[in-house]
Amino acid sequence: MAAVPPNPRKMSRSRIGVIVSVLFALTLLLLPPAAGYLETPYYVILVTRLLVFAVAGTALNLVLGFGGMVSFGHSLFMGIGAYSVAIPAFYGIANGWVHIAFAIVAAAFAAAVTGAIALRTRGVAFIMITLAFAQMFFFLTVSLKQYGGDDGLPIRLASSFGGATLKQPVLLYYVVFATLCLIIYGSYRLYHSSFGLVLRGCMINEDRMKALGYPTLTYKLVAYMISGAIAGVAGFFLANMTTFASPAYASWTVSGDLMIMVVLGGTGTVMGPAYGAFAFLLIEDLLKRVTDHWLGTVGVIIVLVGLLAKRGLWGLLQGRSR
Amino acid sequence: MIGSLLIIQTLNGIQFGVMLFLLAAGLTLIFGIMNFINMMHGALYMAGAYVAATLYNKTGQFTLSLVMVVPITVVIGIVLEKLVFRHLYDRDHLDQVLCTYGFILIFNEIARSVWGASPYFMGMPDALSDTYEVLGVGYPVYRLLIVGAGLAIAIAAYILIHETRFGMLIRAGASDRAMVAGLGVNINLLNTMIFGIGAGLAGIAGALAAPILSVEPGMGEGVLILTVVVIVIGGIGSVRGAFFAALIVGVVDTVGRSMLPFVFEGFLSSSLAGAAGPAVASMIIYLLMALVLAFRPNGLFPVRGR
Amino acid sequence: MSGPVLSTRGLIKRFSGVLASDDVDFDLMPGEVHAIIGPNGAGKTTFIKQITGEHFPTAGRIALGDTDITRMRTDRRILLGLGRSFQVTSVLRELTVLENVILAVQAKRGHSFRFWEPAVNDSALREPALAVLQDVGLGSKADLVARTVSYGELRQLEMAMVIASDPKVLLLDEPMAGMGTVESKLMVDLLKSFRGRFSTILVEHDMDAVFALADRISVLVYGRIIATGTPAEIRENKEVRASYLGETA
Repeated sequence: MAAVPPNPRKMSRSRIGVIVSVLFALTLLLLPPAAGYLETPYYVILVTRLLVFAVAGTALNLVLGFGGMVSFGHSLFMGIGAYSVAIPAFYGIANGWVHIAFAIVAAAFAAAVTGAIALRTRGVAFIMITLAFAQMFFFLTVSLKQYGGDDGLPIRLASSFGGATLKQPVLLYYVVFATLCLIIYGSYRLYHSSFGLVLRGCMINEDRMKALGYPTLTYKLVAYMISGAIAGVAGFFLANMTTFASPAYASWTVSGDLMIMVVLGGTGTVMGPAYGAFAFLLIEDLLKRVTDHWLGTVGVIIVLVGLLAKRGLWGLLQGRSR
Repeated sequence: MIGSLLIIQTLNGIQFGVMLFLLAAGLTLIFGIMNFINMMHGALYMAGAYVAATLYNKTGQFTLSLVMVVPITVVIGIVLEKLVFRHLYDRDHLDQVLCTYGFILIFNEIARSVWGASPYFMGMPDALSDTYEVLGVGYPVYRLLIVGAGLAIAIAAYILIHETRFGMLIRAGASDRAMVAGLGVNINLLNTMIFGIGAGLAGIAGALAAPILSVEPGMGEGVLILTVVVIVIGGIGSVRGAFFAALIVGVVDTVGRSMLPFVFEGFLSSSLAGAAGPAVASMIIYLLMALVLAFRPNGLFPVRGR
Repeated sequence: MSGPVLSTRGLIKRFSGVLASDDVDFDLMPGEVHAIIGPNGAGKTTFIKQITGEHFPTAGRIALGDTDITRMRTDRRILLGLGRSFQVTSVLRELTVLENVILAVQAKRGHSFRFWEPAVNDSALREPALAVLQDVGLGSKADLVARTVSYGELRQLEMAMVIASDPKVLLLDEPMAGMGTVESKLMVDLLKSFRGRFSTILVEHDMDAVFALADRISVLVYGRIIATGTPAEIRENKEVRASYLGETA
């Protein structure tokens, strides 16, 4: 699904998507000062969470939307990112560069190892193996009692970069926002690049790609590692936001939620996952305030999304069909 | 002392393995023959547990309660299959994951709303809460019953798969779906029956588990993951693989979790053992899975032709 | 180069009791079009799959030039110069015509670990791809999504992809399948225009096409090659007429 439509008649409708996105970005840019003015700082934290999951969703989209890999592993990578802050902080290391380097390297490594095993299979097997690995990490974090175990690990020292620490909500907000913009743009460039073309080809017909001479496993693995590393960064942000790292961050249901966000927003589109993350989390938040049975209602929504969401929110904005 | 502990844990492992087999047998066929990702298999297990507990608490008839679970969960499975899941067979796995995942939340919500969030207690008749002497140790009669019931079902499954026409279709479908459709078989009926049987097996597993485990919302998810590991190790689509893998996983997990900390204490410093023991024990099944996959990406008993 | 560009010696393939390839010796000489014909079930597809690497032979050797490729992975064989056409359904339909050919070109140009620049703008990829599209007659359709072009054009795209990967040996597996008379003629003309550029193995049922294109023909029956020769020789061959041509010619 190319982001560049060949038909000039449809150009004006895809412009709508761009315009909406620019307006959206402006709103996000102005939110912290507005919240400060209205003395409702809670909104900064609320939207930071949306932004963090938008990053994670965009990361997942690289393999799910561009590569067709239904991976439950991304909760694992987010969890690694979170504990990459919590564990060094536990030992008194507050250096943000250490935290983020840890998050990226550890997540990429985990992606390499789990991917090397899982990607030798396809279809149902692949999905289930990534699920199993995600749970393995979950149980590992639960059993590490010295790092909090089931209760999670509070983070007393947030990541500090030079003088600034990410404990300041507004600073964290803008850092995550900037990262999201960067990741989305990178995702766009990746989509059209040589690597992206190979990845998309693998999703459409892997046997054909092999027949063209591509070592498809290698390309999928690299994509998986990049995707995992970015999800690790999202976990890093999550830990700083909540000043907490918990096994719950690594639960497979987080991966499930990420998938919903990607599908809701538009699988395989560049902007879709971000919109999906915002929409899903805001709906969830709204439902929590309105009814006790919010979890079941979310379940119904998810079923409907699975049954009906063909183009996702981004596709609706663009007015194009798949 | 350690000997009797080992015996008990091994028996527990076998009992656990038998329950995993009940779950895995149905799910591996759903994965392998229907090529359908069913995340809510654990929810059907939970449904079986709640139904059994409710019936027993209302009627006091233990055997009847367990038996009645089967038609009820089979019907639930068939209704879901016909109304919703059937429309997803031609869709992406992703869409299947989403829909069935949504149903997990719905089922958990129903459980929470009707029975409450705290565990719902199911007792058992006095006759069954006795112990029986096995290899010099006293072992709960009920758990032996589970092993017996599970083995009986395994034998029935073997007969079904190898001696009946339906079973032949299953074996054919496991290795070549398109061919079965081409044989003029009513594929829709076959799918519904497979799903229904899977649901019934999951339900009976839940019913059997109810007196000894916590019946509560979300009880299905943990066991779902282990079932998935069993299926991956055994080979997707293979009931035989599910049987052996289930026993292996059940025993390794149970014995590993209880014994590994002791083993570690034997030759590691106590602080390291205290940290590493439980950590490795909890991961041991997944490490086993990774090991199997490293040598046999398609599982121990792959169905040929895939 | 004097020896064959591709050869098999004593190739045997057994599928639990069924002998699909029965001691097949085959040579493809440089620049020739060597057709393989035979009744359905004769083992033509199995033979091709052993050359591409989708099946490994039970016994025997396959060599590409001087290199033994009997047990080599498919993508490595492709990089050594093997090219294969497919049934049309394996064109990557969600991509544009140009992107499909670029993928073919890209595969042979070292690695594709470039993450930033758009592939279609890379002149090292774009130019050869457009040149090939011109050769097959699809130059004007480069930016159309593959799903939107006609069936015949998909076939041309398929050819373009195979040629774009600059193969030494071309495997054409029933390129005329499903084509009407007009389209078949176009495809034959296209293949004729590539005469001498590649060494080609042509598996085909369409006898008109085979006799128009082939320099040599081998006849495969029950997994065995029963005759090899020029089209004229094959036409006259009594055994071939009895077991195969007699029914169709």
